[in-house]
Amino acid sequence: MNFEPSTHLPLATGHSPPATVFVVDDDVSFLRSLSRLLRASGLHVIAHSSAAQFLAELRPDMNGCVITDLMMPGMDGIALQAALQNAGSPLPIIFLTGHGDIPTTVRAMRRGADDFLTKQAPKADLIAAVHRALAHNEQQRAERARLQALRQPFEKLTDREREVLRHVVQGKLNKQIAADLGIHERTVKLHRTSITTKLQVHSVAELTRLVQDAGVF
Amino acid sequence: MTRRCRAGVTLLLLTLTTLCASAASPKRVLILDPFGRDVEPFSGTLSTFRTTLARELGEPLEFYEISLDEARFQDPEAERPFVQFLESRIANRPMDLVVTVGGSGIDFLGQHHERLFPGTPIVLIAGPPEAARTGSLAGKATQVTVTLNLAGMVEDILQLQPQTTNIAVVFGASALETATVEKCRLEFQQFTNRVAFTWLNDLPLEQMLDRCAHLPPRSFILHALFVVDAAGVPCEKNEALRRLHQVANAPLFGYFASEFGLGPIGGRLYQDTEIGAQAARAASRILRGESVGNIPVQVLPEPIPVYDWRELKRWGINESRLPPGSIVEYRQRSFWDQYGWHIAGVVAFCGLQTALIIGLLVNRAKRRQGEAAAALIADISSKFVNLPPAEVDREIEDAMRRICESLDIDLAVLWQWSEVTPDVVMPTHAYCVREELRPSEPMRQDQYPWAVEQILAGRTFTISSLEDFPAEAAVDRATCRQFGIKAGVCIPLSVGGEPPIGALGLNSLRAERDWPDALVKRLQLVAQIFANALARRRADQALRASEEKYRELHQSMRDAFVAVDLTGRIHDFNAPYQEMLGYSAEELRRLSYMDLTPERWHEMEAGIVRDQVLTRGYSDVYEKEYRRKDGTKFPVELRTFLIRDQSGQPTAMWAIVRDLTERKQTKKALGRLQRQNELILNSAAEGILGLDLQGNHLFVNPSAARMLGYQAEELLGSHSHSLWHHTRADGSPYPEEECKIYVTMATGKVHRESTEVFWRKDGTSFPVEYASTPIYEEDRLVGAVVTFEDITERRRAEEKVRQLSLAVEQGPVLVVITDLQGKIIYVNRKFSEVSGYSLAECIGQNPRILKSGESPPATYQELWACITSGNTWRGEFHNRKKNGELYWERAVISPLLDAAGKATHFVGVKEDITERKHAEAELVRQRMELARAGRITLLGQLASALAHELSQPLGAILRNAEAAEIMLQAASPDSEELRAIITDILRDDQRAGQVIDRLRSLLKQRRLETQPLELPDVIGEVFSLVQADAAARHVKLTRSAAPNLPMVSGDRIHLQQVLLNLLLNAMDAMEGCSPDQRSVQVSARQTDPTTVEVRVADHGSGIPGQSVARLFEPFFTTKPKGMGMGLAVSKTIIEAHKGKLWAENRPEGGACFCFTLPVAGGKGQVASGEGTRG
Repeated sequence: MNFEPSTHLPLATGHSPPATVFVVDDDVSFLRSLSRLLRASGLHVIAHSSAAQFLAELRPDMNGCVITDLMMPGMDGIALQAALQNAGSPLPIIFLTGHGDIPTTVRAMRRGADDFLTKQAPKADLIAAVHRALAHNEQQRAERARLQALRQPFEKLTDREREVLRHVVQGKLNKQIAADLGIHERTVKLHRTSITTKLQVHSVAELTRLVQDAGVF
Repeated sequence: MTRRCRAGVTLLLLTLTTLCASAASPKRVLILDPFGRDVEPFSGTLSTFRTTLARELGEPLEFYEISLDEARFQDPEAERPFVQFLESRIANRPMDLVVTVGGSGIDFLGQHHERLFPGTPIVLIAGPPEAARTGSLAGKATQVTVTLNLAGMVEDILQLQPQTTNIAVVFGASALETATVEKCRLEFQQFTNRVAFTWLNDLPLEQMLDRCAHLPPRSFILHALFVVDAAGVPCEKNEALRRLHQVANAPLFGYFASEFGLGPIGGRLYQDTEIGAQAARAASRILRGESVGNIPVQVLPEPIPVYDWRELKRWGINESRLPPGSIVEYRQRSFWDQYGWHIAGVVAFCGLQTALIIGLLVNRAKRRQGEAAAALIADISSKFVNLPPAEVDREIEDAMRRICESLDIDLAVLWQWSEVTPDVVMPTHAYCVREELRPSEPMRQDQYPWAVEQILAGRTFTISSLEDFPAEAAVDRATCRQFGIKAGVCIPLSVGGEPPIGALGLNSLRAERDWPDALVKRLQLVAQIFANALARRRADQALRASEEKYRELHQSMRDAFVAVDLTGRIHDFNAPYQEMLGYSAEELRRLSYMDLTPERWHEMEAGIVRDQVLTRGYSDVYEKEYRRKDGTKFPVELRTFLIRDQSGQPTAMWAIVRDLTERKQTKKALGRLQRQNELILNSAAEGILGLDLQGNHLFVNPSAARMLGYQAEELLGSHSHSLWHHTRADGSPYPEEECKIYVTMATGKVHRESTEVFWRKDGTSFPVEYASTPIYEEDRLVGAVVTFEDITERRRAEEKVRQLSLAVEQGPVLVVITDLQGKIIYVNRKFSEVSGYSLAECIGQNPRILKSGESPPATYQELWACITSGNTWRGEFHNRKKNGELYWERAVISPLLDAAGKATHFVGVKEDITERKHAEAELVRQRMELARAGRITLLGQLASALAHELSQPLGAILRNAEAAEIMLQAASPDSEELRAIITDILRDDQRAGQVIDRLRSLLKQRRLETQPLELPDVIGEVFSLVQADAAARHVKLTRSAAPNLPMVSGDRIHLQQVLLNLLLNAMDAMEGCSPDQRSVQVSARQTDPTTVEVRVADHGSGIPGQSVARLFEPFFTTKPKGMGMGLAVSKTIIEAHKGKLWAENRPEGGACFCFTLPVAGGKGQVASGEGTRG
């Protein structure tokens, strides 16, 4: 994961909305029947009859999973998967197909499909897949929260300090860093002191472990 | 009457008319000729009428002739303008008399005379006698006619030839003729129980002639008129009659006197000229002023029957059969017929007679000195004594001149019957005071019928005036008048009591005159002299011709010739005969043939003369001996012929004689040869025979006798060909004339033969090879030596070799033989056929000419290593033909070993397997194509689309049901929601049904490419597809097809799909069975003429009872993983083929899926291109 501040999807803050199953299918009748079943199974369901409609209402803090028909007019299941990833949405995707064919399945799975089911798959399989996806989503959310906490102190660093930090964790000496950046060694020392202060670490070893955990670089 | 004569008459008439033109105004006579000129016999009748009238009347006459042209236009509508035309023609020329001939002319006058010729007297010629007595012409016309006795003709025919069974009636097709034919039909009715009538009048001339040329035996042809044939072609101038006479194969019975002598046999002839003459007399009376009413209708009496002697002879009709009182005309034979071969005798006789006559004349002359005539005649006769033949003509003409001059005779003519045309007399010599009247043209004897009769009877007659002619000589009289003869004497020219050769006529043109008996007698003497001179000359000419022939014959004969009289006295012989016997000619003439023959032959020869020569006219060739003058005897061979005289009496014999001395000596010489060569002959293994020129055995060696199965003694002297060479190998007779051995005898050349057989005494034969070599003795061919060998064994061996080599040569495999170096010494026909190299091109070449480079070099190395070590190599080559084409061959190459086991040659026996290779490649290709096709066919194409389409409604139904299930578990289910669910389920179910319907209709519309298919092939192809699968699943596949299974009509790919589906189903059904039970049988058989049934039987668990009915419903499946579409689609496919697909459980366990297909070309065939592509 790149250490780049996202402008599209700000990190979720505060209380989370309830987990929702987003169902996308162009066949309205199937959409309705599947929604009924999931609701009857105690899940919160939002149905969309096309991928475009769903994307239009996508919120960064949406929590749950997506069940989408693989073959749809306009944007199909694979295209929806790509669009969600581009948007940084962590929602897991379950694909449904009338008749699974191997090349499509492989393609979908490689892109990270959570599950691949036929439309007439047994109810238990379907419900289990949904719960698995929801759990997966929950886990991802927790991980994201932990990372966000680790990365918080790095927000305080200046650009120059972040620059110096990158060199420091690479194990370079102050003199080397000064030469690389074209600044005075004393200035380097000054930046290091400011970094350790801001990140509240006391040694280079501690600093390096923090950088790795937060996955900043 | 001939054309010439008519032309003469016309000329005369013209002259008369012109000469008298200046006197009183001429009488005008209008002749309405219904037939046109040149139509016999009517033109003859009218011609006679004109001639006679002109003569009888002696007044100026003008004849107007208008042709009614009946024969040419018969359209009654055309008559009116014709009448108008006639009216204008005669408007300013009132006629004194109107004449017409025949029924149609009479009818025309009957209708139109009032308008055209009011008050003009009319003469009618021929036609029904009532015409002038009754009707509109009564009192205005007179008539000369005859009773037409048609039935009389048939009576006469039956009188002449009572056996007659068929009478062909030959008439033309003009109105007149058709009317006559109708009359004939009526009148001939009475004869129909005796004789059949064939009516040919409706045929064109050519066909009619053809019919007449092929009449059945005992036929007669009845012919009277021929004006125009059925094709409308007019026939003129007796042309039809002449041709009819030429081709007819039955006697011709004519009707008109004018045709007599031209072919008809004769009969009660209609006097067509006489009727004209009588009519002229009536006309003459009218023109002289007599009232037409006073002149009675004249019906000529039935004429005396007249017959043509030549025709009677030709058809073999006996004169005794002629009606009583019949006259036979043309009874004469040509000079040559009569004189035949007696010319020499006649010549001698003539000489004697002349001498006598001269003697008499001289005596007379002495007694009647004053008579100049006598002196003249004596002088003439003296000139003819010993007159050279070349001068006869000149002397006769000179004599005739002198007679005319001294006796005041105007015209002397010597007539002789033509040697070429029997009934024509030629004026061979003539003298006339007026050169222009001298006759030069031949005269037909029917111009002087009476005179000819007198001459033939040998009677001299004199005419002092034309009135002297008796009544029956009317024609003669007319002819004389025509030529201006006023008086005359006619003397037959006859020699030695023979029929006359002609006549001498002396005529007065200027005045009538008497012919005193004495003068006539002297003239008869002159005629006699002339006759003798002419006969002598003819005889002389004939003799010279015959001598010429005789000399040629004599000279050309190499064999001796002798002629003897019946007593045996020799009277003629040729030089070889004389030389042979050594007598002089004079001596021979005094001898008889018996004198020349030794005693011992007399009896035998007398027997031959008696039994052969005298009885059948010639003898067989026989041998006897002659004795020369010196007493030596020699053998001869001869054949004798008999000579008969005119009456058939034997008069002499002649013989061809050949000296056999040399031939007999040959036999002796050969005898010597035999002795000399006996030793050699006896020891030879070959058969050796000596034959003389006749093919008789002269010598026989023991081998020959043994091979032929005879004792040598039996063969000696016997005839070789008839003994052992009489029949050919194929059993057909072998005529001696064709004997190949005799070729040597004829040509003197050695002849070899190996295709014939010789026959043993026991009747069996054996094939031989023989050579016949000529034997010469002193340069003369005397016989032949035949050396022969029984080639039965050789034949057998040859035959074996021939068969073997034929088998190789004509066999279906390629054979090539090389020497040890690999050079080709033989290739067979098949090799040439396949490789394109002929035997000639291959000889000396190495088989590497076929090398294409496609076969790896190792193959060749292996081959050579194998065969040079004495083993047989088997393998395949990919070779190149002469034309560059590649081909596959499977070869077996082995060394040919000699008796010592050493290789002498290599032989390659190869088979062209190109086709098989191609077939294999084709099979592989087909399999791949099928596999590919299988993927793209219906099921494959539709499966994914279908699955998706159906999964929507089915999935919806499922989820709705599951949701409802969960909701119903709640304490208070939301009934509103449940109702919505049920509505949705029902709608989705409907939706799924629609999808299936769409699929089925899609399948139905799919175009079937039907073609005639061999069902076993299709099954085989599917087997090859599933074979691997079946093996993997341990399923045994078997198939069977009934013999003579007809082709079916179907779409190959679709049927493969169905079979594939059923086979896979069957294999699936046996999943749970033990491997040894897993087998599927596919069988095909014809169940009725238009149907073939295919059964796919498995040994699985069978179909559960309740499933059978639903089996073919879409999405019904009993298989855990089945889609439920296979059978539904299969059923749709089979039904599209107009067949049925069903399933049954087999009594012995397992299921059987069956379907039917229509036989190709049958009624149930599916039309290709049905429906449209979906």
